[in-house]
Amino acid sequence: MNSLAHKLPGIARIRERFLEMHDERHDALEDALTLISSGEDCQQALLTARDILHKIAGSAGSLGFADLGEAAGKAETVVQEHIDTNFRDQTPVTEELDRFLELSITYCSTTAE
Amino acid sequence: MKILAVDDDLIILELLREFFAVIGEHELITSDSPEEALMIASTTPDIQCFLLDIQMPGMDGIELCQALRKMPRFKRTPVLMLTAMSEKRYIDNAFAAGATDYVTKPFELSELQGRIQLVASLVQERRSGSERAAVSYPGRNRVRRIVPQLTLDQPFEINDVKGVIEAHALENYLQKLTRSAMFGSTIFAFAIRDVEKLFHSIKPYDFRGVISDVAEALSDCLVGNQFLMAYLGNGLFGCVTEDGWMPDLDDFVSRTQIEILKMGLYSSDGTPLDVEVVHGKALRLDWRSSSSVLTAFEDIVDSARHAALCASAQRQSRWPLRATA
Repeated sequence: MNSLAHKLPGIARIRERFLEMHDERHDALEDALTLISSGEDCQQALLTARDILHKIAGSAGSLGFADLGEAAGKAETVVQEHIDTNFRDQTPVTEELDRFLELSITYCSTTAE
Repeated sequence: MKILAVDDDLIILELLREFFAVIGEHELITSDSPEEALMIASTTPDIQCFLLDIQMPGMDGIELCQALRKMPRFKRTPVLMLTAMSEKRYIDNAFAAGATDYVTKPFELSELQGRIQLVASLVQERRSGSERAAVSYPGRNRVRRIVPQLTLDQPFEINDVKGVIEAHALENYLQKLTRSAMFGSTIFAFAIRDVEKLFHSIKPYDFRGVISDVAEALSDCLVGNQFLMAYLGNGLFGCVTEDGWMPDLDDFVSRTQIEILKMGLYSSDGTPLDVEVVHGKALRLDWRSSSSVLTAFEDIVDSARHAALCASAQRQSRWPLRATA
């Protein structure tokens, strides 16, 4: 987090809010991964995953969660490429989402610092 | 400055509220939907800057920017895109839609502060221009706004010509490309020969018309390719094309000249105008830093200015008695 962010008196509250929201986002991504892995009618699940990852990628870094933001950005790119190419093999997406969720869970409620 | 920020991520809106509360000076209005933002924009007076996310449900930030530009009072209002969309096509589309600047999320607050300061100076500069141009009448309550006097070196807006954006937006675009290490664009510039004579021989209104017509001729000859162009003042146009493509400049200028001849340019008193466009050098952008890219751009623009001087000298040596603009 840059020096200016530290000067924002409300930054702790915003970080806390982000982490609260992150619990829900993590659960929604888990659900999306289950649907994508099932391979049936997963288009909506891909869009949901992309939108959630996009939001995490957009704000996590500004709040001091750089690794989470970068991982979300990387996963978003993989999901978007998958949507764009309409590729049948879901493996690259499910593997990337799995990797992201492993990091993501460390930010969920009691596990977050 | 009154700023309207539009983002469907409530965390970003909260962060922006906190940020603007700390830096003071500005008043922030927020909206989490583009549709609501359009309503706020049309009913709130004095919005002087927009911060727009790109990826939002329904209308996206680029479409929102286009919609705002269609509203006469926001034609020149700075629009800063604040988005996680870092791919070049989004940057290109945003500037083509009328964005003034582009900041990629996650943003450093210090970077955002710098960008906002630049926008605030631009707004202040424009406001001082209109204040200087306001005439008050003793004994009356009203102040009449008049069009500020046009100077030759002044870049001005050219509306509704494809690919034409404002000069400072073109500079921001070039800086954004180099900051993001997106290379392969080519920059080049055009100049109008004997522009000073032309400027002093016709009315400001006619001069604006000539510049718009030349911009249209240049734009028409570039259509079919991805490009952005701006009028830089002094009869100079800067241009950026993408993906390594650039026209054969001699051929391009010939085609532009044919377009100008087809238009048949006249001043408002019916005098035919002799307008000739020349080109300077071209440069493909490489590893340059965002500060040196502007120096490179200035060199390219200078080469067009120089080409115009050479064309003028050549013409005078050919037709010494008919050397008029």
